[in-house]
Amino acid sequence: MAEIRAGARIKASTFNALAPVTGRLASDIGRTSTTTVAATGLSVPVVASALYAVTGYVPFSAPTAGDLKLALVGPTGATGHWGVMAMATNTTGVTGDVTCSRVVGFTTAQTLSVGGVDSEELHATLMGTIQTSTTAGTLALYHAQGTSNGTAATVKSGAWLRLVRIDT
Amino acid sequence: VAFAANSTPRGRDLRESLPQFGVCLQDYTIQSSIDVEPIPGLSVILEPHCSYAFSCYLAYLANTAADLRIQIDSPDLAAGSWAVQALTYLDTNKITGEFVSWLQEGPNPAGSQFLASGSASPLWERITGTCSTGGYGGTLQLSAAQRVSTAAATTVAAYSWLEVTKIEEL
Repeated sequence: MAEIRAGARIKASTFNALAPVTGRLASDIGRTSTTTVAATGLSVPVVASALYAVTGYVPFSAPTAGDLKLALVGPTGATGHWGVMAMATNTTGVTGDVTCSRVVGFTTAQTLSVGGVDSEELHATLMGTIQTSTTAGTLALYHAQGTSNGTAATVKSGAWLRLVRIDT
Repeated sequence: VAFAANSTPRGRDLRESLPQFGVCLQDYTIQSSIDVEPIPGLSVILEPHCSYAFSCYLAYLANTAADLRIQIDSPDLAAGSWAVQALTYLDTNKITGEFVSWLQEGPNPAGSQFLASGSASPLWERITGTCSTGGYGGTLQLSAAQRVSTAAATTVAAYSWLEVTKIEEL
């Protein structure tokens, strides 16, 4: 990874490699399907062969019966894991059981569902680590309903992802 | 650190404006032990007379009978507090369940321990804290063990990380 040495000129490429990279969702995106689809705009570029710490904030609304399903999708060959901290899918109110579940991998096959509550605004916190392979690309948030329902599962504007390179 | 307009930032200032990370690069397994062991990589060097903010993504897999015990140690004379958000080991559901938001504070939080739930599925916990060092620099180190000594393994997963950001020099 880029390193800052005393007395050395700091190149833009060095700073870019060290500074956090973020993505933010500009407008609400609702889903009425259980198939996860990219939340357009909520993605962050990643370079090849790099290790990143991932954090994220996902404000959302979803019906009690529908819930929200999330996935983090990275470039081909990426490894690592991520977890979500939010209300559990069995909850029916804004207080109750939570989930601290974690999955290994960054494809649409690895999803985590969190609880929605009718007419309530909730949020999920994401943390994780992604190791990219020789393929660069993006790390993107995908979402869908956990269970098919007539009311959309909506990720709200302002949701963000933040990546920091932590190669040692 | 604040950079004055038109000034040339020093490398040291730029470096200190960025967070430091400690990363666990291999799974670390603990069996039949409630004695905490330092997790290789989950440590960051602190300077004396500085205040830091830290956070940790601790990914783990623990047997439901064993659960997880963690401890954070700081340099001598350091003060601060740390908090954990995780599933409580007191809940029997062990995948989703009761949440615990726990805070340890005092003149020297080193040595205090937090207990979290194990599960058949991978879990994680979030740790947040602050540490102000005194006359000694040293290491902020995360250690782990089982809550209950059990032959089945408790594993801190590779790629867990500890992030430390300097807030100010004291």
